[in-house]
Amino acid sequence: MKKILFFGLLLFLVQINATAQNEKFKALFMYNFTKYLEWPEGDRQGDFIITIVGNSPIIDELQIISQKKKVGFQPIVVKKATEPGQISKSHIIFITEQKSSYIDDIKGRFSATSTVIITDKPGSISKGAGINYVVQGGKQLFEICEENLREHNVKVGSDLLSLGIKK
Amino acid sequence: MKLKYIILFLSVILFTTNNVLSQESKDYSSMTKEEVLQMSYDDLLNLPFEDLLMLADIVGVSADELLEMILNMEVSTASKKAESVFDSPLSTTVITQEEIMNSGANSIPEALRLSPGLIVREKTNGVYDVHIRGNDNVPPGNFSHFAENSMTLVMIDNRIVYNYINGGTFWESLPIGLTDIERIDIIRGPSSALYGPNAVSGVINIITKNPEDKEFNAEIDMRHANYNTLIAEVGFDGGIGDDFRYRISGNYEVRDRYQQDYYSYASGDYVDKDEIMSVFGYPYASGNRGTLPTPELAIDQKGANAFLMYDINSKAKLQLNTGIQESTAQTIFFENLATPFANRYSNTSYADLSADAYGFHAQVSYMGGEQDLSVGMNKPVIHYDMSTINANIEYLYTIDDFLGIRPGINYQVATYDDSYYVNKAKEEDPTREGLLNGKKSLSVFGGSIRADYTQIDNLRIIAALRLDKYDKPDDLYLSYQFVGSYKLSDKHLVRAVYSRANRSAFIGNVYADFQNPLATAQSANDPMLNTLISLGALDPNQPLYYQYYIGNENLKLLTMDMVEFGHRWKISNNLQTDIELFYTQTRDFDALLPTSLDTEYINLGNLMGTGDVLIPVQHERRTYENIDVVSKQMGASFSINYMPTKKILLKTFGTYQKTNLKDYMSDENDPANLTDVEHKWTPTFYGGLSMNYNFTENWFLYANLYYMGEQVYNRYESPYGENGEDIIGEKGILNVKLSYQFMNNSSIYVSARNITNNEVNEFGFADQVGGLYMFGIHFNL
Repeated sequence: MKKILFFGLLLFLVQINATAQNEKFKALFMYNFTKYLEWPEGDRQGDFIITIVGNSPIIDELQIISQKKKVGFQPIVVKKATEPGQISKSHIIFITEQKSSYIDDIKGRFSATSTVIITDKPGSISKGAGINYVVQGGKQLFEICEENLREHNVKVGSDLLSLGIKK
Repeated sequence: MKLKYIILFLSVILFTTNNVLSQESKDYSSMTKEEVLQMSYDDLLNLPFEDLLMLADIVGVSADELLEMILNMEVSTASKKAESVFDSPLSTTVITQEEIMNSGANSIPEALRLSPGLIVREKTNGVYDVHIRGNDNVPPGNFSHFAENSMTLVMIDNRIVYNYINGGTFWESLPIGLTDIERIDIIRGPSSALYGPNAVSGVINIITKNPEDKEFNAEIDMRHANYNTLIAEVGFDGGIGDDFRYRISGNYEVRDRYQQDYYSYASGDYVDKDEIMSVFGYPYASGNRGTLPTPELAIDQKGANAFLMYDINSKAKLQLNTGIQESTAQTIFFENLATPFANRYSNTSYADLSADAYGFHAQVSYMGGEQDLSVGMNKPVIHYDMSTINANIEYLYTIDDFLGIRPGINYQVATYDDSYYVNKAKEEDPTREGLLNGKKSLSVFGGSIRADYTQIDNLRIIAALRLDKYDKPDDLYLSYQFVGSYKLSDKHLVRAVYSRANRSAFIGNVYADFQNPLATAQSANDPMLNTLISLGALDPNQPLYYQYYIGNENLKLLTMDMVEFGHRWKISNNLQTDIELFYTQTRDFDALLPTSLDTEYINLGNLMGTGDVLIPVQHERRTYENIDVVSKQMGASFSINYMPTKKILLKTFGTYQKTNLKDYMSDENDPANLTDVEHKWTPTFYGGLSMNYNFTENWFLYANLYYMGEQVYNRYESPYGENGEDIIGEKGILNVKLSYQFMNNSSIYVSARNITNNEVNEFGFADQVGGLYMFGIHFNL
């Protein structure tokens, strides 16, 4: 009887397709972060470089944004890397969840540069990320740590701190 | 004319301004998800961040992404680095803290009922035995502790927590509570090469919380139910400075049994304590005798832990976990010939230091304390001090990100000493006997190497070898694991595993040294007394009878070989399946077998003050011996996870398996007569079904069903003819929890375990498990 119950459940299974939209909002969030973050004077010229570590649909979303917007007067350039050794100097490094184990390495390599490390895995703030995407109650939110951002010589406005989950 | 243009100009300005103002003040909160999704990139890019956040709220996280997050948690399995469960090449399940708390599980073993491939039997209220895929009670018809699982590597944060007396896990003696747990990783199948000795049927690794916040957090959980069940846990965590984090926790649990009577072998039914007769015919639990001091008690345990984490720099970190526990559980573990029940006591402490630095991972852990496996038992006294030390170090060498090689070495030593307790018992009563009668130890030194190769797209190959040098037996054992997985697409993963794993030797099997004077049924009416002293009970026409349980230092170690194939399939964005097919062969089981029967004559004439009185004394030696039986098991597990909406998560899983015993010796007096039988103690089908429904913002409903098919338990039957077989019918256990979240992560709840009060016992001759109806509160401050 119980076996019938287990298999019977399957008969009720209906496929519902949902479209992933989170990466779009993460990209939009990332663009908005740049409005509230202040890089040192020397980093406010030339291209504004965002490097994505790992494969993620967020790359396509950022490419769209880069064609429509600039950070101040700086054109946005989106780069892709699969491992820390491939990353050049960047204003933002986004580490995908799959590559989150690289955070220690990346933090070490870019400890002296004005780089904002953004992650997508719970617990990454304690490992040095400045901003970390989290999902709470089915909502896309972000954690932000002023201390970690300042370590990389990037100032953050109080408005952004109040919009995120302060760590 | 000019006025007209001025009015027109002002009108345009006013209209434009009004239009802009109306745009700026647009109430985004009233937009539907569909409206938001139709907004263009340009619109979204021009919004203030506050409004964008609001729109993100409306859209939420899609069901497929939620499913991905919920189902494909990260786990550290074959590669020993974090990877998604979907990508794991081994049979893997992760039970998260959230799932444990949602489900209403009241203990770690109960939480394990949420995983496929696990057989979880409740013996008394809150006291469990847990098996991965069975192979339990082999050989059937042996002593009861052979029915406990001794083939699974159970760890907390990679620290071994099974006992070395027989390899089983005393779940009630684990020092941590449910709120300490971050997740439980379960690996099914032989995995010694990756994890170390005793990972024969699999691995259960309980990962504790790693506090991420530097801010102070407090967590309190209290539950109360019938049968005087009270479970309380408290934990605090936070950080000091930039680099130091901590968690301090404590837990307390007390439960009464579902009944106060006991199964009595002599009468074959459940009777009050004072009515229990031993198979020899004497009252078992009268006066101070016997092992049943507290008929009502099921479990009484408490524990305290400290988890300390220090980040030396970005590439080096230290973690020290330490804690203490004290527990008493009334359970079925060690044999006596009156009733299967006894109290099991444990009072231990541990320290576990681990370090990760520059590619190295090192861990040293210690556990020590006092345990009494059968409190009050006259013979044997199984009361000892124990200590175990485990140390290992590994280094990860990566070549161009596609080949990871991880060499490692490992050392384990376990020391058990019952001298103090046996001597003390003998001082009080010279007829008592110990099991070990001294200080005994076992050690193993091992080396391992693992390679994880991912250069070819979508193909992953893992090879792991491990060589262990045991001191008992004085021999080398090679275990291995070859694993391959191939991603046909993002939605399909096929995998195959071929592995061999062995169990280590244990103190009981190697060093048992129990001398048991039983007299005879005819000549002694009280065999709990030493008959050599009870001269009046002697009869020259009846031999005295001594039984010895003797260990064996040369036992070959139990070994399992497995071939497994698996397929994971993301059928749609919200539906995922996982199927595993396995075939195992397990050999070199051991059992206590009669190995010699000698008769000697002693002259008691001087003691009796008469002429020569020759008394025959029979000495029967039962020794741990390897037996010919080979367990052949074939089975399949499935799990299906479905998220029809973001508010409902449905999971179902089951395992169908057949276990046959080849060359089983059904009669120890006829060892040449070997037969092939179907092993019925492992149920043919077992599984579960769960629904997690978040029907409003604050209300949560969780219902789950756990099912086990019919089982037949067989234990040792003495010459006195008691019944040793317990046929346990199929059982479905339905649990329901309803909770209301009244503030951030704090909730009150009611929870019913076994809501239908299905009283079928789940373990041979154990309690008839009843319903538990609970009220609880969980605070996060």
